[in-house]
Formats: sequence, structure tokens, C-alpha cells
Amino acid sequence: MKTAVSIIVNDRRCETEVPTTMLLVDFLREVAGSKGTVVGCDTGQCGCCTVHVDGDAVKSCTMLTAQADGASILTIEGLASADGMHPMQRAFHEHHALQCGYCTAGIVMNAVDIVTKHHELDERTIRRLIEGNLCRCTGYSNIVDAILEAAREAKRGA
Amino acid sequence: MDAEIARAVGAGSSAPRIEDARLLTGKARYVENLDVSGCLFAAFLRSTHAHACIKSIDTTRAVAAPGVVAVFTGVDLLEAGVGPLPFHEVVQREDGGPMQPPARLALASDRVRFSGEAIALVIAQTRRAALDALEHIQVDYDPLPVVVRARMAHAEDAPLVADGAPRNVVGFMRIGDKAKTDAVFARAAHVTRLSLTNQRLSASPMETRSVIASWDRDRNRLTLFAGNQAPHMAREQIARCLGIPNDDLRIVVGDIGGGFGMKLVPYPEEVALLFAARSLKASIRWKADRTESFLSDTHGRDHDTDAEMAFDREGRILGVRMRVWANMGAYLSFFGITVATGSGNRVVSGVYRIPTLDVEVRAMLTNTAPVGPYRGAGRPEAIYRLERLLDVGAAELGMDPVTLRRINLITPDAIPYLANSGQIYESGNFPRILDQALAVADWAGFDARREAARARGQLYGGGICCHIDTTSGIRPFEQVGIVANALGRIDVFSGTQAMGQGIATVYASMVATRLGIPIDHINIVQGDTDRVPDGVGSYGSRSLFIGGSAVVQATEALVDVLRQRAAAVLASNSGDLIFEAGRFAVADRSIGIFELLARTGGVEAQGRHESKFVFPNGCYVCEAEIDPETGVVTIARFSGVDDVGTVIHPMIVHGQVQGSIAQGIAQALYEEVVYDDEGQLLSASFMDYALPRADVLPRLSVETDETSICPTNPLGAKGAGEAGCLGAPPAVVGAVMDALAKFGVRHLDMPLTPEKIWRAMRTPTPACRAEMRS
Repeated sequence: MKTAVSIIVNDRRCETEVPTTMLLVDFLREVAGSKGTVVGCDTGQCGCCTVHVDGDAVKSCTMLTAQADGASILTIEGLASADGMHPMQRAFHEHHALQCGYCTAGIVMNAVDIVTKHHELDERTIRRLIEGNLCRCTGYSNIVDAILEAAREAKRGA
Repeated sequence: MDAEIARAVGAGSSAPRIEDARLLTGKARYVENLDVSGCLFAAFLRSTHAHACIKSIDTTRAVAAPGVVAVFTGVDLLEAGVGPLPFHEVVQREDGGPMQPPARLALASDRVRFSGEAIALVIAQTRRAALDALEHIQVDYDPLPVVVRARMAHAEDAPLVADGAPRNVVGFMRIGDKAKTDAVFARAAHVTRLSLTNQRLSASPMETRSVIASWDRDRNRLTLFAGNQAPHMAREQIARCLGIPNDDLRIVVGDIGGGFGMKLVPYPEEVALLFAARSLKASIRWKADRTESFLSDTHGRDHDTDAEMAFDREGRILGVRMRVWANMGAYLSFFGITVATGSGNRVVSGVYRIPTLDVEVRAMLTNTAPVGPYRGAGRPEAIYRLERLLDVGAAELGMDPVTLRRINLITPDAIPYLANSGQIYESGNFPRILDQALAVADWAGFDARREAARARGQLYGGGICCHIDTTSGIRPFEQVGIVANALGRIDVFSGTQAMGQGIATVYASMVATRLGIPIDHINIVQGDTDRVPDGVGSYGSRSLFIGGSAVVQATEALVDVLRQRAAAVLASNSGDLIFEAGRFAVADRSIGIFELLARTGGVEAQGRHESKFVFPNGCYVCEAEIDPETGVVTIARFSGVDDVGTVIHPMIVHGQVQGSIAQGIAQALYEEVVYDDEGQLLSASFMDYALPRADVLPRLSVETDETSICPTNPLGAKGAGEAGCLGAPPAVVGAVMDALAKFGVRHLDMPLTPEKIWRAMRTPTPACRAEMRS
């Protein structure tokens, strides 16, 4: 069975029919061609597939494509601007907050959401807010440092 | 060894990672992102039984299912002459005969030996169709009795996993001197005895195993796209299985989403998929889902040990006796037995003077997934048993655990030191590292912190571990080619493999710094057996000290050729030329590398480095707090010092140290692969297998010490990827046991879950009660 959807992915509208059972992450990868979003666990545990749906961080393996009909999706490919990488991406680079990179897109998308929605962030809060994202390489401290740095920068810019 | 060389390649400065731009913007080249057109999709039917004879497999309905292209079973592979996966023949059977492990076929044909073993392969137009068709395959099993634990598999009445392994012992090794050790134990003032288990772990990289097997119509050969850590070695092993020459198989890697040793060995799925691709003249995609990954990836650790340490009255170690049952799983993965009998035993006596030892390792077959290398690979098991013996021994002797370690350390004047393993510790200053670690940890302030925690109603303990690693692994060489073209582009070809650790950045930065040119002129080529002529791979923390040393040799060879040419251009003797900041100069004349290449054409140079085993070491100190109401452990402080020799790229070294300590803490407190008695895997998702999350891991305070650089390679480096997995578990367990000391708890096996601790606080074991009475 198929469902018609109209979804904006990184400012590009995508109107098509998809199987009703298609997960949003499969739509993003296979239909919209946004392969920066990856799947690490199939059970909503790892957060590798985190994207923004209408401005909220969502694990895209926990949502059907049909549920995203009419929504605007931002993936890691849409985060950078013409001026270069997003401050969160820059902070991850500068703080060595990634090694293999597989969890990175998901954590960066979650981190952008966190910094947007929380004005007072300390280490403990950040650790609690990113516990839905697994990273096997870093031990997380550098990720926390990157987010703290990006949060400071966001505050300065605000 | 040569401080000048280390300086010339920029040791101590951290170039920004060249990998980050693509990894941060969604352009990573993981296998699943590679654009291979017209791919079919694969799914594997896996055994639901841990041990059974297969009476029949009926694929008729699956073949006819919508979208299905083909279904293959083990019989198809056998009839086509596909051989079993190879194993590393490093030891013998206990009776001295050659090892006879069960043949590990890419698809099991008449018997399955673990739950999750692949039985059939469905190829279909879509992934969904392939998965749906699995439901239509009928397998008639005749279940057999099951054995799961290594120690239990050795029982006389245990079910046998394979005919060639009497009492399930597939391989055996002994080191040390039994008679001498027996004599020492007989006259010892005190003997500490401990039975412990180093539990089974899953490497669990965030990227599961992912493969494209592709038939190249133009060249009539196969290409395997897979995240393998050692593509040349994998090619040799897989080609042997398929009965084809090495040249008829190309392996292409791309980016690896984490390997940790698990992606070092070739897998049955890769062989089956390549067979299918050749049969169908097609390209086929497969990616394990997370449960498949837990079921079929090689696991790590899983040793049962009876350990004994004999002391004299002053606490000096007189001897050590170990009986190890190393769980191999149902088959030998290529390096499974190497981990159990080789790499760990090179550090069997740790950093301590141990006059005599008697160690027997039995490699046991069980009805579980094959065990293979996982970060640390044998050394965490070896260090853990020694450090636990010292902690328990200290308690029994009424000694301070730090003092007990200190009086037994190998002293610097004894370096280079011939260890009981027969290996030579080439460098190191273990007492210095211990002192420094205690300083970094502010060990002097421990008592005050314990009092403060007690005042809050918390239990508090401290633990310490002096660890020593052994890096390199088998095939101790790498070779590197450098090609500089007339346009100033410099390609560096290495058989080591990037897998997230950032080794390409390190190589590029070393070459650029030495040549005095911008890093963006350097292109590191890895992970393609067509483009890289030969090499070994990345495992055993060898990429820098062996692979990087080969880069140094190749770069120096390149500079020599360029120097000759510059001498000709500048009409000078090459010996008179000064090479600095990318320019060859003599008197008032000079020429830059780029101009030289443009005028005189491209250059090729080669470098090779071969190394003995090398011994990075360190000391970690952990302080842990336990909530007596819940048994939850919080790591209050984690500090230490690592001696990894020369630190070439500090940022990446610290990244490796932090990541490996995280995995070590994970073993101590959280992770365990659990099979039930029927051999069914209970920990088959991230709901059940507790990878640590950001809210439970601590901030670390770990430094490096560069006073004992390695004398056996030009960089002075020792390898930095794995020590955390060795040092963290004993330090954390030691801290928790110290906190629980008042309950008479002597030892608990990892992982130290809240439940285990809660129960231990309330129900002391009979042994503990006896101890408390005495």
C-alpha cells in the first residue's frame, strides 16, 4: 500500500508516493538521497538517525514517512550554510568530538536542538540531554566540550 | 629513538583532522553510502538452535516468493568447491597433535553449532523481499545438547561441539615452569587464590558490518566493498576460501564506522555474498541489523580463570599459577585462538618481577558465536587477573595495594627486561609512572574524599592498576610508497587502515611537516588492494609505530632523491644542501620542492619498517562511589598516566586513550554478552547490551609521559589505541571492591551491576562469612 507525501528536505520539496510502512530514515536515505543520516540499531536506541522534523530533533527510525507528510526536515547535509560549517560542526571539529563519524550526524543534530532550546547549559545537563545518542569511540567528554563551546558561541551571537 | 626525526615530522603538534570535513557534513564513504548501481539485496537465514543437526532445508517456497532472485544453501557452496574459512594455526591440541576445529563453512550445511549461524542466503530485488522470503525457508532441525560456558565445556560429561576437540579443548598452550612453580607455592608464606571470569563482550561499533559483493563484468573478477581493518590479509583469506587467485579479488574499504578489532577478520557472510555475486554475475548489498550483529560478529574476551599468586612474608611475589579456559565459541575465527594463546601471554607477568610461573591455557569450543580480537585482545584478560590477585592479596596480607605493587615492580635498571613470556620489555620506567599517576590522581587526598563521601552516606573506594600492553601483532611490518607528481601532489600508499582513529591525518601531517609543504598537497591512499600493492592492516595499535615508521622511511627516501636532483639543479654537492621549510638551499641559491618537481618531473620512493613487539604501559587510579540503597556505582575520579612513547599527534592520542578507557569502564560496570543455558542470546539489542551513555561516563584526567621513548622505531612511538581497555577494568573493579570491603566482599565478576552489588551488600558469600569469622 502506498501513501502520497509532500515533505521538504533541506529546503527542497519532495512530492512522491511511498510505501505506508516506510520509515522516515529510509525515505531520507533512499528517496531523498540524504545519506548522511545512518541507522545504527533499528530499535530507537542509538540516535545515529537523528534529524530535525519541524525544528525538533527526532530519531528518524522511530517515525513513519507518512507521519512526516507536510513537515520540513533538516538533515546533516542541510546544516552548513554558504559561509561554511555550522558552529556546532566547527566545534565538533575543533574539540575532536568525533572519530569514526558514524554517530556524529545524529549527535550534531541533537546538539543543535539542545543549544537552540536551552539557554543555560552545564556539563551535567548536556550529558543528560545527549544520553539518547550512543558513541562508541570518544567516551563523550570531547562531545560535551564541543557542545559547551557551541552553546557559548550561540549565547554570544544571541 | 631519534628525537630529530620525531621533531622533523612535527611530533607534539596536533594538525586538524582531514577526515572531519566529510564526516561532519554527511559525506562519509561508509559502505552503505557507496553508489554501486543495480544492486540486489541479501538476507541471511540464521539458526534458531544453538546446536543441532540439519536434517533438511526446503527453499522451494522462498525461491518462488515475490522479488526473489536466488536462494543459496551450504550445499550449493560445497558443490562449487568453496572451502571453510581459515584459522590461525598457532598452537597444538593438548595431546600434541594438530588442531582440528570444526570446518567453518560460509553457510552451515549439515550441523549448526551456535544460535545465529548462517544457514541460507536469499538474494532479492529489494531488502524487504529478501527478508520476507526468509520466512518461507523450512529447516528441519534435530537439536543436540548445548554447552555455553568455557569451564563447563571442559567437564567430562559436557556435550561435544566437534569431534576433533576432546573434552572441547581445541588448542592448548603452556608457559612457565610447573615443577619450579609447585616448589615455590609449597614454601610460600601466603597464597592468594581467586576464580574469576572475564566476561564476553561485543565490540559494537556504531556501524554494523556492511558489505557490497560485486562481479566486475569487464575484468571477470570480484570486488568486495567492506569495512575491513586489514584488506590485504582479508583478500588472501577470502580468495583461498573461494579457490581463486588473490588478483581475482579486489577489496575496497571506504570509511569504517568503528572497528575495534571486530572488523579485522573475514566473515562467512562475505564469502557467501561473493559466491552469490559470482554465480549471478551481479552486485549484492547486505548490512547486518543490530541483532544480527550481536548474533554473528565475533565477540571478545570470555575467559574463565583459576588464578593463584604466592607471596613471601614481605609481600614479594614468588610465583603465579593460572589455569585459563578461553571460550572460542563454536568455531575458530581467524584470530580467535591467537588472542587466547598469543597476545595476552606476552604480558602474562605484567610489570612485575615474577620469579616463576605456570600458566595453562585451554581454548574451549562452546555453542556460542566465535570469539575474536576486540580492543586489547588478550591483554585485558592477562592484566585483569594479575591486578585482581594483587588487590585480593593485599587485603589478605594486610598491605596497602599501592605498596604491594610498588615492591614488586620491575625497576628501571632492569630494562631492557626479559619477561617470563620470553618477550623483552624494550623501555619503560614503571615506578615513575606509578608515582606520576598517584600525583595526577591526588592520591594523598583520597582519605579526605572518602570521609566526605561517607558523611553523605555513600560508600567510597579507590583502585589502582599498573598495566602493560604489547603492540604489533603478527606480521610485524608495513611498507609505504610515496609518489610525488610534477604538479606537486603527493600520494602516500599504506596497507594500514583508517577506521576513525585519524591515522590519515597523522601520516599526512608527518609528511607535510617533514617536506615543509601545506598538508592539502598530501593524499593518503588506503583501503584498496588494487591501489595499495601490499600491506598488513590496522590492529594491535600498530598503525603509527610500524605504519608511521614506514612513512618516515619512505619520506626520507623521497627527500634523498629530491636532494640529488636539487644538487644537480643548483650545481652543488648534495651533501652541502640544507633542506628547510620545503626548500633546498646552498649559499645564496635555493629551490622549493614544487618548483623542483615541476622542473624535474615526478618521484617515487619506498619505505618499510619491521618491528618487534613493543610494550606501552601506564597506571590508572579510579575512585568510585556507591549508593548503598541502590548499588549504583558512580565513578568519582579517573586519573592516570600512559607511556605510549613519543606522542606524535597529542589530540589523536588522547582521543584514543579516552575512547579505550570508556570501553574499559564499560566492561567493568555495564557490558556483558549473555547466553542462556540453551545457547540463546539474551543480549541481542542495545536494550539489553548496556553500551555506556554520556550520563554515566566520567571526565578523565589522564596524561602521557614521554621520558621512555621506544628505541626500536625511528619515531620512538609505542602505540596508543588499546591501553584503556587493559587498565580501566582492574582500576574500577578495585575501587568498587575497596568500597565494599566492609561487607566482606572479596571479589565480584564484571560487570558490576547495581543488582550484583546490592545483593553482595546484603548476602555475603559463604566464603566471605568464613573469612569474617576467622
